[in-house]
Amino acid sequence: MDPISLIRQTPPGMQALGAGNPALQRAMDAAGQGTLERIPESVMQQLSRPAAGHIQGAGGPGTASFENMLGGLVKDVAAKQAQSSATVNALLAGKDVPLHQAMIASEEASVSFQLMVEVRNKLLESYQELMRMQV
Amino acid sequence: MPGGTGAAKRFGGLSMVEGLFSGTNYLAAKRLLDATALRQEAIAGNLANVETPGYRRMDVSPSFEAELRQAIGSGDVSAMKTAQPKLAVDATARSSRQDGNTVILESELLKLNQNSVEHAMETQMITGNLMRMRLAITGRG
Amino acid sequence: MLNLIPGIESTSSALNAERIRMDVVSQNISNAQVTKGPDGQPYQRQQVVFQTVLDSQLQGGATVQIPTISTDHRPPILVYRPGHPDADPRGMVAMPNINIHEEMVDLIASSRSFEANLAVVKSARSLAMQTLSIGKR
Repeated sequence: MDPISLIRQTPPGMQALGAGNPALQRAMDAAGQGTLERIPESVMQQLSRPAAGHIQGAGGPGTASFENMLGGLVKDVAAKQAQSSATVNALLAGKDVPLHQAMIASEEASVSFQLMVEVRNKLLESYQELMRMQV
Repeated sequence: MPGGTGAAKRFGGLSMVEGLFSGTNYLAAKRLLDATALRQEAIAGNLANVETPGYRRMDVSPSFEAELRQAIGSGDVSAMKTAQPKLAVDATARSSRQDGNTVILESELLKLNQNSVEHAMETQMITGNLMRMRLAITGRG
Repeated sequence: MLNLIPGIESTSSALNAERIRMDVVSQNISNAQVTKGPDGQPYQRQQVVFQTVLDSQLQGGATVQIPTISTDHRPPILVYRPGHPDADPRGMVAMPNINIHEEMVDLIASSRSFEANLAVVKSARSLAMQTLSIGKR
């Protein structure tokens, strides 16, 4: 079974991770399907607001919690994608953008995206590993 | 704004994604490439005007290199991200002609070649960095 | 058109200007012996002057242009040739004010500049190709 359909089944543990924050859940799905660009603005806004009942780190909402980290990562990657599109569009529209800046922007966006996909994959793997453990 | 609010994870002041692209080497290569691309424009303009009376040759302003060197030396990452090269008239160029034109054909052609090699070096450095990042992230190229 | 090759505006303006200059010089040389043109006068030397056009935002290199092709108003050169059909009563012929050496020097300078600008285009193109392969194996 491929990892993407596994994610789509949203096993209960993973659901807890995204609990109270369906935006994050959808973002992770989108990451798996490579459709990050289609995440609407409203969803991105939701990601920056910790929802009620979410999993908190030991120190409370301001510190390093898993969800905060993932939310931040998704936001940063989306911002990078947007910036890269804007630069390339400006180039194609004939504006004064140096070619190398457009190339580098698109490569950086691609690398960031890869980072996010790998983080998601690793999370999925760890979750599955956990589920496989005999209690 | 990328890596925006306090809800996002922070490592040493930079978000994960920003931090990925903040290596000194990588930033220096990117800024140098900015300068090299601008210098190519300057050289093209100089050689276009090699026969124009009174034309004074242009180049990237020397203050940029000083600024960049300073930023690298002090490890100032944000300065390295914002340093911008600018074109300026070359104040050190002397005229060897009656009409005051300061472009010397042979030396300008030499600079063209030099710039070409620098460009190759910088693009290779940037590519190398990007591929290393991909390797670190995915475990394969 | 997309501006992907750095400095292309400067270089193409130069190639154009030098070509015009070469045309003018060739015209001068081929008319160096014309003692009676369509207006009844000896041929008058034509000349070009180059002018720099600076890029206003200093984002790109300067371009060059030829505002006009003007006439050199120096007087014709008088040569003693009593048998010439256009000789005046004293046997002097008014020859065009063209010095072949001057024209040759102009032609050589123009040619060198043209070649140099071709080299710039070649170099700029290879830079652009290199840039396109950033990040790729």
